Amino acid sequence: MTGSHKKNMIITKSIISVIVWFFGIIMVFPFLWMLSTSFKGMNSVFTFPIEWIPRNPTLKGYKALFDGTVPYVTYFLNSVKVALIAAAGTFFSCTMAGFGYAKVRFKGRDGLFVLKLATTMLPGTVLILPTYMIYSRFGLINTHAALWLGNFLGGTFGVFLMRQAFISLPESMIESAKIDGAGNFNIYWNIAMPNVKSSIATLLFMYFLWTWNDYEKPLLYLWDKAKYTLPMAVKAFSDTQYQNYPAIMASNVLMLLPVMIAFVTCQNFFVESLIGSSVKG
Amino acid sequence: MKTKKKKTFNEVVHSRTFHDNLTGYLLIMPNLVGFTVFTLFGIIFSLTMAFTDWNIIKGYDVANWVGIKNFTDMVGDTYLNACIRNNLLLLLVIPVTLFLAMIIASVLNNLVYGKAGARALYFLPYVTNIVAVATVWRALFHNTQGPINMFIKAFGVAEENLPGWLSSSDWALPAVMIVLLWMNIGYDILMYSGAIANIPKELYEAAEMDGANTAQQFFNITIPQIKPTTFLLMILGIIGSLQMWSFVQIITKGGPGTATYTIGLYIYKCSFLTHRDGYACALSWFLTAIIMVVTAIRWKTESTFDAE
Repeated sequence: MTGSHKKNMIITKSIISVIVWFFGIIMVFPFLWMLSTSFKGMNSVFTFPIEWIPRNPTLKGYKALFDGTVPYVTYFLNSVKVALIAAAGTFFSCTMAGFGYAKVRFKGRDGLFVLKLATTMLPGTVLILPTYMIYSRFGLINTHAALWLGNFLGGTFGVFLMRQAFISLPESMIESAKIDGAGNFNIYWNIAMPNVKSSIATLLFMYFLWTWNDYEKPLLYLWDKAKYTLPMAVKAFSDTQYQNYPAIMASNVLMLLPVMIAFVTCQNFFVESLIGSSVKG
Repeated sequence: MKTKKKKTFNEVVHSRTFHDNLTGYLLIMPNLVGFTVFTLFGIIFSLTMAFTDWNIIKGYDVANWVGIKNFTDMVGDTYLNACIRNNLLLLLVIPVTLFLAMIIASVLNNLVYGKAGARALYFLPYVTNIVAVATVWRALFHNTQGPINMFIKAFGVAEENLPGWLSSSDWALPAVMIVLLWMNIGYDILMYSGAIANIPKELYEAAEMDGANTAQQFFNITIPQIKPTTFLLMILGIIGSLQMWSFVQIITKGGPGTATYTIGLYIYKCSFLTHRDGYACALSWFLTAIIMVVTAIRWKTESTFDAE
């Protein structure tokens, strides 16, 4: 490569970088606006040009969440509880089923898997009413179990992800354990599981995220406000606080904070494994 | 392995085949239970109820068989017509999102300084939940004071010509489309980044020697090479877009009027607010049929392209 070519390359790369970063920052404008508004007084919400750093910062928005009118801490703990239970259930149900479909030869396996595959095209709305009926039959309406039970038993995405991860393990690894007389549960737990750690981390992160962010299930299956998880609580809060943008934005900030921290700290790992899952799949 | 001699009970129980069958089913058991109860039972239940006048308040034991009435009622249902129109218009977001994502992903891999950071900016909306998205954008789109209209006004657009966004029946759907593009582009960029990283470098080197410029390389190498990813994202996008309901439920409640009503939202309202539950089941099967037809068309055109 000649010197001038290299120089041209640097200039091109710089220009493109500026453009891509410029639009990237526009992408996060709504987040920056949310963050700065959460520290504003009611009067300065819509001042223009936008006060990105509030001239008179105040914590009033946040105080509105903790002054006792809404049980914000309860909502937060409800969210943590439901997301943790769902992720814990997923950990077992998806890895077990993934391993079963990938490495154990049992009768009817491929038929069952094709059936499962075929139902992925089904829109979620088809199952809303039947699920409601099942929950009401078993007394699960207005309980947290209605929010985590579905994912606890293993979502389709998770089973596919883990099946894909187990399939890529070399057959010889499994076979030699079989010759030593190891049972399938033993192979699953002691040999297969330790070799798919990064897929397991993706699995747990995704299901924690989806359950944490879920708005539809609490809307459909809960009526008792004290049982709300954050998305439903924030929606209800924003409906009552019609013009109180600082408080609405403060509640959004606190809801997004755990997810944002988790995402930013393990961004590289998370992005790579998500890309990997799609390329293989 | 196989012998003609009949195996004793003990031999069968201790054989590998028996062990595989038993443990295989035990391993998939939790998931299989969930799948059977929620998905398989749900499909049969919903399909049956689609032919009744079921009302969830009165209970399914007093529901009457009405044949295909629910399906014939759909013809001439003005709400449903509005929903179908909106759902079809919303599909237009998908190719735009994919094309932009393709361009960004193709430069992101080796033409951007700090690519991990830039990629994170685009991906951030994807990990955000729809309640935060809807409440923030509703404020940004505020028709008289919102930052977006203030910005447009700063360019000299007169007050009365400013778009009304979510409060105007002409602008509400475009506003929703903008937010959908913003929400989904990060995931598409991520998937394209993976696909583009897998394109053999030699293809670009050969093209460069032939004197192809960057744009030519993009259209003649990148786009054809990532076609499988485009196809997958297109299908996922179509399915996701056609069944979307909770997002519009938060941001506009389907309004103003029926400007942002979607089939999914209509199903939700029939299920739990107007209690036409048999009709809601029928609608959800109608939606399933649309998804299948649109996906099949996409599939078909894809294979015709491949045949050429």
